[in-house]
Amino acid sequence: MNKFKALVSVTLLLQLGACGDGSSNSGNTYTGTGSAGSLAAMTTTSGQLHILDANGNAHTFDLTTPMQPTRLNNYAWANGQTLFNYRDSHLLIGRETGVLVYRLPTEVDRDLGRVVPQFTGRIDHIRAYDPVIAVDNIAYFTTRDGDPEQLTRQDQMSAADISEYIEYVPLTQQELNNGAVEVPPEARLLANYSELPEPYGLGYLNEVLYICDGHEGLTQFTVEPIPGVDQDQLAEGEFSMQFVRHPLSEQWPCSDVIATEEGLILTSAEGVAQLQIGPEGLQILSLLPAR
Amino acid sequence: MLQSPRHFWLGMAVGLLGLLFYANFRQTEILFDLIPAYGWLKFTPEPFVLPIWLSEWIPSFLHVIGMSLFSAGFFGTSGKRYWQIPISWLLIDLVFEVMQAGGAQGLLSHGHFEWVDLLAMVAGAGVSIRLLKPLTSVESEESAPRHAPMAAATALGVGAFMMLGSYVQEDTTALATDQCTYPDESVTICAIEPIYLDWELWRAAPLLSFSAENANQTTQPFIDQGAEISEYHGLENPGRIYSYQGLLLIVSQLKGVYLFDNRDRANPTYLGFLNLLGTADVAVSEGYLYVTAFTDVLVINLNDLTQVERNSDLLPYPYPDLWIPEGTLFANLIDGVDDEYERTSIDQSRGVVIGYRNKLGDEFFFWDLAL
Repeated sequence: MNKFKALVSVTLLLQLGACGDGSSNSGNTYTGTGSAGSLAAMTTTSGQLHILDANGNAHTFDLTTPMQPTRLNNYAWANGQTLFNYRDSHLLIGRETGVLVYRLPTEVDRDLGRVVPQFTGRIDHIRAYDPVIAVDNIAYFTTRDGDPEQLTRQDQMSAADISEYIEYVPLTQQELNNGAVEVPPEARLLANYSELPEPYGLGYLNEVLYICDGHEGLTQFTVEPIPGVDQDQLAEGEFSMQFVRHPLSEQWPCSDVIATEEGLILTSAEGVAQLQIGPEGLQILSLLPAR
Repeated sequence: MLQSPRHFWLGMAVGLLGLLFYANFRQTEILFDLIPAYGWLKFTPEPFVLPIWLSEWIPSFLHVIGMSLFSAGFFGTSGKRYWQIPISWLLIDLVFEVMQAGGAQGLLSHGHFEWVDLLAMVAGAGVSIRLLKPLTSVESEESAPRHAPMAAATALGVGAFMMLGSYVQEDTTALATDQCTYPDESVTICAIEPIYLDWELWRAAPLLSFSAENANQTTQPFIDQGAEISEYHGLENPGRIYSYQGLLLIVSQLKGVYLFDNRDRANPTYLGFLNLLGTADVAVSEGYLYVTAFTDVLVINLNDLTQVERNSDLLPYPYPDLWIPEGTLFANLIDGVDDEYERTSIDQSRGVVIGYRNKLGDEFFFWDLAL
């Protein structure tokens, strides 16, 4: 009985606390940005808005006047599918034939009037659909064949080291005129996984990769070095890392996932579920079912 | 008969190149698909995806060059012909291009008007002039053609054939007989009519509605001032999600955005709904909520919900080609006399296409379909 009373009291106090937060937030000041799923086709970077239209072409807008985005440029890449803001320094575009990396304008660039994202390089892979995210200079992306029932060559998950892209600064016209030679950055594929039949949206938190699969729902992976493989002496096509799957106790359908310190938010045709990441695994907090 | 076989065969080669291009790179269905042998020219099961800036101008470019070479094969390149021929084809192609811009409906003007096409044609003419310019004085002494009428007829025929390749097929009998399967599993003819969302109606529709049950200090004033009320009845077509400082935004595909107070994740509370047909994505930055819907970008200041700005026509018109069932084509269903249906093209001035109607009278809206 005492424990129960204590529990009720704590719960009440917490709710009051929440109410308290609400009232103190009535002068709510929203700042900064939030978290989007990996399937987003729109993203904001420092002072800019990037949108992929229905044809997959990217449009960049200036947000100096936040209520009235003004067009800066658009890029006719066919079939760009998703956008990802990497640390406000680079824009990753997931498209059918690969991932494009664009360098966002820095303060110095803006002062010099260079406000348009600069193309840095691309990672090619087999033609498929793919969202991409990046953490700590490693890009994670999935590709799928569109059929959750079939596992084909196109259903893949990959991790690629993109540090060369991030460090790369495109040469200016003057440098080129002076005879400087472009050395395009290259991606180093670190790991590959091809056993999920329809890998889709993905999220990353605290060295854990959450992948939504169209057939198996939410899955959990870590990327670890392959024991016994010498990183400096890799054979052709050999990977230094591998995806290690950590089975979950329950199945949660999802097409995309947002992973933050507060937990996971999954979205699927069946609704929006929120999960808590605990020491004992994932536990469902709430579910908003679809009609 | 052929004044210059070399040019003639070069023209044929360019024509073949054009056909290969259409077979493997063009995504919209074209007249050539009617030819059974055309399938042999396709190397991949699906067209290669070229950047739009590339795929739009190649046909125009090749057409001027091909036809110029072809004509030169018959007429020769003597005298001023080496530039008269390319200029003539440039003018002919320009007329077709301008007709497209006029928005006239029907077979000949179905493609989209593009400035890039014009430049491509001019470039093609330039290249042709260079190609046709006689190299030596010996070549410039060729005599006049002997079979001019037949040569002209053949050239026009081939030219028209190539030009028609860039437009969607108009086969009225096929429209009346070909069967297509619709999302509700029903089967009927492939002719469908677009359902438009009028621009003004769309942009005049009320946007924010709030839950009266869960009104908080921010939303209550709006309700008091007569804002629309909407209560929560489950998520319809949940799509992309966005989490922002205790707010959970869930896109209802092509319909709007659900707004939830998510500070207690175990109990997200419905606050209201942003009603905006065409909604695809949301993002928040520095307290400003951005929503894309068809051609418009809506911006709402989350720190002052009275500040709402709709930026119209920031994005290109969304053509519904990818959302209609395989094989279906837009046509005029009402005027179908004797089972003949006239092809129609999308009339942008009438609004965005949000669905379609088939011969059975069934209406399908894109927001009900898995996208």
